[in-house]
Amino acid sequence: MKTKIFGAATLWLLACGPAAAESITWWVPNWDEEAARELVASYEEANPGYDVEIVITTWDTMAQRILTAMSGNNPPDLITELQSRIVLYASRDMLTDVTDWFDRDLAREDFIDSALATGTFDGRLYAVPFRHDGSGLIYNRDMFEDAGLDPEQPPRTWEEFVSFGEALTVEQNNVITQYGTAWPFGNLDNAVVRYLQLLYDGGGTFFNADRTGVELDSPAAIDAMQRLTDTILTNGIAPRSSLEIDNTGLRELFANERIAMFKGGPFDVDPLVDAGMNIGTATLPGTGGIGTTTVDGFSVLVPGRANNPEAAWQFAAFIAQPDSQTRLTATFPANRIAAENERFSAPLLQPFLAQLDEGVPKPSAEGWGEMQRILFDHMQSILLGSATVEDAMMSANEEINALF
Amino acid sequence: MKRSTPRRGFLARLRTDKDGEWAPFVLPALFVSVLLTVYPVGSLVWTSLTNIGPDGVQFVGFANYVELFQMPRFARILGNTIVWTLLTTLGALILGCVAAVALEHRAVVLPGVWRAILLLPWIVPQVASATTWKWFYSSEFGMLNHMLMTVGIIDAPVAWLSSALVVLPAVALVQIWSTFPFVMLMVSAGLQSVDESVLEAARLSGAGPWQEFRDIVVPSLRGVLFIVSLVIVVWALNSFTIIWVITQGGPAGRSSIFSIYVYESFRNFDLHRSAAASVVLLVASLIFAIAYMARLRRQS
Repeated sequence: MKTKIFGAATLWLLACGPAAAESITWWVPNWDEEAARELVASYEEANPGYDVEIVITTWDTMAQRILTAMSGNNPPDLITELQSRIVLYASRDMLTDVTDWFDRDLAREDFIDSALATGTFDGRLYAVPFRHDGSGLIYNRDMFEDAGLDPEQPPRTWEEFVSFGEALTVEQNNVITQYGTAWPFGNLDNAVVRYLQLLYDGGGTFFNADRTGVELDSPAAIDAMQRLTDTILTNGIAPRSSLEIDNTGLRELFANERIAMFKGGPFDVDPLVDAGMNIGTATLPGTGGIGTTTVDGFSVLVPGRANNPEAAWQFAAFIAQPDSQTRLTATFPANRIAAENERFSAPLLQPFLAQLDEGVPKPSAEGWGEMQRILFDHMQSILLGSATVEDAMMSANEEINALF
Repeated sequence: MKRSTPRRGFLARLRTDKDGEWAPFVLPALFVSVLLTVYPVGSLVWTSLTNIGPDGVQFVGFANYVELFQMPRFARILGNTIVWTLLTTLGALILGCVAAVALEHRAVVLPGVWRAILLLPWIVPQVASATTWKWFYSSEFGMLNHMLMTVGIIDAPVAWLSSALVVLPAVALVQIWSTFPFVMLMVSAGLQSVDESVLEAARLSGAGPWQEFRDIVVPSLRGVLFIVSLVIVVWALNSFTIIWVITQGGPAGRSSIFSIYVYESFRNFDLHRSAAASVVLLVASLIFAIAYMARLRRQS
């Protein structure tokens, strides 16, 4: 595996060697800017005459900006974009098919399967993944000890998660001062992801087999919503104010020791450790064992109307290399060899890494945003007490199917 | 004896010029206006009348509008927008007038300092203030419930942002808090222009404070209040940041208004329906803007 990738890297270096005088534009999100500039400097040094111009994007505007650019006639040559949006672009024929280049220069087995899956549409590959992550469980070890729980033995199953949550929920003078967990149900994307993780964990699927509709009225889909909303309405291990927060708010609650456990990402670990918290991490508790996480991350893609697609691919192939991925990713790399780097060897990160093998890409389809909105509204209706789980899921199923 | 005609002013000549001297002055401004206003609005209207099909962009007439009006949640968004606009406009007007009149009272020392302090909500970036209010309102962990429970006004936490009935008024209060200083400022300026001699004459005629306020001050402020109301209504219709930061239109769409829907549609890559909703919002705002312009023209 390693031999093949290094061989391919050598071939690629030879192929694009010093004689090539190429210039490309690469759109990079601001959090990757420093690493991206270092990578570009290394590449330009090794490839005289090759020039990469970096243009910075920001999280709030990148989706609209990228969509607008790719709809126009003069898009950049290479774009860093969220993996879960790639299939949407591919389905609109906005991307360059890189399948043949990828199989020529790189080895698929060197990449995490779910990372490649995020860039695959109709069996063809449209992106090179370089950052890939999913959720894991983060918990407060001190609170575990205070509740008489062993911090070395975090919950492994959903049932344990609920019973641990009950033990970690503290009531004083008729006021709950600490909850077992909380959810980011005030944010559409964050809330739907939490539901999808339980849906996949229970064996359910969002779309039906031929993707002509959804299956939110299936027993697995209803059960997943029941389990999730029960944590607030029945078990009481999560606060009602979950409806008011997003992922950032969730981490704030944990950092302020208002909750003892939450489903977070590897990017949550460092800030919490830096804040002096005594935390532990674990894989997601699921049905009978390790749960399923939705996975997402970032890839580079070549727009269909790029001026210089082949030159863009040369640089994309450079980003695919283990060393480049180690330097560029803010969480985990999509390349398995890069994942062995000591940068990712911290014990607190290992559960997140192990969880990636139980990763499923988030659904992506034309109209996905509206589908999420419908599901989200019905999820909130359940929590407001204005609909039962079964009625809400039936309605969501009907409304989403009407979009097809 | 030959009579000399008075020299006409620059603007007067510009307004009646027939020799094309106006062109160098007017054309650049006209070009910029077209570029920055007419073209984007035209493009928006065109986008709202088209859709992306297998053969690219296709003209679909009013199909996007029909889809918009037939959406299951259209009625809720429309209702929320009306309630939101009424609440925030009336709230800001009442609070702004009360603050302006209170600052005129002789018991208020250093009114300029108080006026500056009361302007702060208007000056603070809305993202920052909305984020603060969001945590202030938090059901279990917010300062508001903590204070109300401490003084015994409520027994249990109120779900300010996660209750179907309370959420819209709660977020509207933040908009009122953010916009009332503008009303206060304008009304304060209006109060300065009330003729003191008229008030004194009223007092000599035996009028009490309430009669002075009702019969002299309020009529003097009518023009200011009309214009301020129109501005506040347009702000309310186009309001986005406060709602988005605090609730994103939730829970279950209970605080979603048109501007939120426009953004959501755009974010979901549904540019054409987003454009249709934007045009509806634009037309609603234009009604008030035209009334504003007409009033200004009458005044001038």
